[in-house]
Amino acid sequence: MRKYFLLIFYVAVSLLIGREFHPFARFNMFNSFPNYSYVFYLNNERGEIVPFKRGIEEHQDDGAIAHKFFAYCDYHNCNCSYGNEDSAFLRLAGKELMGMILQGADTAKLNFRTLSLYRRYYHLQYDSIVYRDDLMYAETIKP
Amino acid sequence: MQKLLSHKFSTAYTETEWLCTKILLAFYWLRIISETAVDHAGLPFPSGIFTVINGSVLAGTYTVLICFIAASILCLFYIAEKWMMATAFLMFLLSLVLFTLEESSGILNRNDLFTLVFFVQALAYYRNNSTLSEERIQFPIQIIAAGYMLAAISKLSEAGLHWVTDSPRISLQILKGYSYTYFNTGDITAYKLGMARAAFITQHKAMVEIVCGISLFLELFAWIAVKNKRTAFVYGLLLLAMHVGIFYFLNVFIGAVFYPMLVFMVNPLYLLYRFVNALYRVLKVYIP
Repeated sequence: MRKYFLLIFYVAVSLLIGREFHPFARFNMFNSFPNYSYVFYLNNERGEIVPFKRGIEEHQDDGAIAHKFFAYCDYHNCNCSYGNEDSAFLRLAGKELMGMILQGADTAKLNFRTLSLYRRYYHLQYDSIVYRDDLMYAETIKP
Repeated sequence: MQKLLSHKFSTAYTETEWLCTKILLAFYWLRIISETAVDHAGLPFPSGIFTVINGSVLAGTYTVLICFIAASILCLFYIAEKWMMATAFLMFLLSLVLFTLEESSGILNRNDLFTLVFFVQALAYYRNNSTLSEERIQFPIQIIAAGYMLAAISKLSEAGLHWVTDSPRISLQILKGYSYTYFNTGDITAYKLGMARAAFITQHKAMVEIVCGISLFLELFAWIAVKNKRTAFVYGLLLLAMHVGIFYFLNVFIGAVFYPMLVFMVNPLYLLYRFVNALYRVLKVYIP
């Protein structure tokens, strides 16, 4: 038992805390397979995709944006799933995320006027993957 | 090869093995420290210790830079085996602060194992008994195994055995992973590849259920790895295969979990060292 003391201790304390409290964690990545997944993307006024890394800043990352979206949901006690967020909530979350995306970006170098953040909601319908795109927030970069 | 395996399958950890572990761990830790994303405007989503104490003052522009310089110095001490208890403990503290800052920025990179690995190594040096050479590696393996077990417990408590039967829905996660690449880079081939992989999964449901069942079993029984050096090595190879599968299909690489496991259980640098050493001896016989 002594050989497993730290293992038991870490598992027990993490379960007791029951949430993320670094360095105690639940490691809940992929702990269920719900019938939805979210991705986020940017496009400009011409409807072209603006890649996070190549179009805005190298350090920007779609996965990080998704993490921030769910952190925002948790922080506001909103159960964000299955595309059930209303447009008012999406707009507020989108505004917050857009601020984070453009933070430190040199907007003078961007060759478009409007940047729009969309949330794509994938789900399975009879073994086929379908999706719905919802506009979260649009920001005027250049007047 | 026989010599290489017999050495790897012995039960004692050598000094060279320990040095290889430290080098791999220190370099990767330094890399993730330098890549840590801290929201310079403050802590939008305070978590961990920053829910108890106010850490906004640390969310400055130079935090990561200062931490990187401190981490570089600590890495040198760590590899050179200097003041190990204090060094490992400071590495723990630095990880605790920086990774909590990152989580408070809304990014969950799951670097928990890294932080605790340094803490338990400091603990091993504090105890400083005759089994130190084993404990400084075996203690981290306990933490890593606990991480995998927590992942399995989380799956079972959240979804139960439906986790296995629902696993074909992983196609949505696969498409998500490839969509991230597409929307990050604009590379449409990544999106097309994701569509193809997701379609493959929906067409081979039984196979996906079997593979996910095996993965869940591996995670739940990760405590077996703690038993001794041999079980750690064999179990490490099994977990390595699992991670390669996850990366191939899901386009997901959880480095903060994978890397400590690889370093402490498989130790590829030490394997390479043994291989080169064996090759050198063989060549020395045939080439004068």
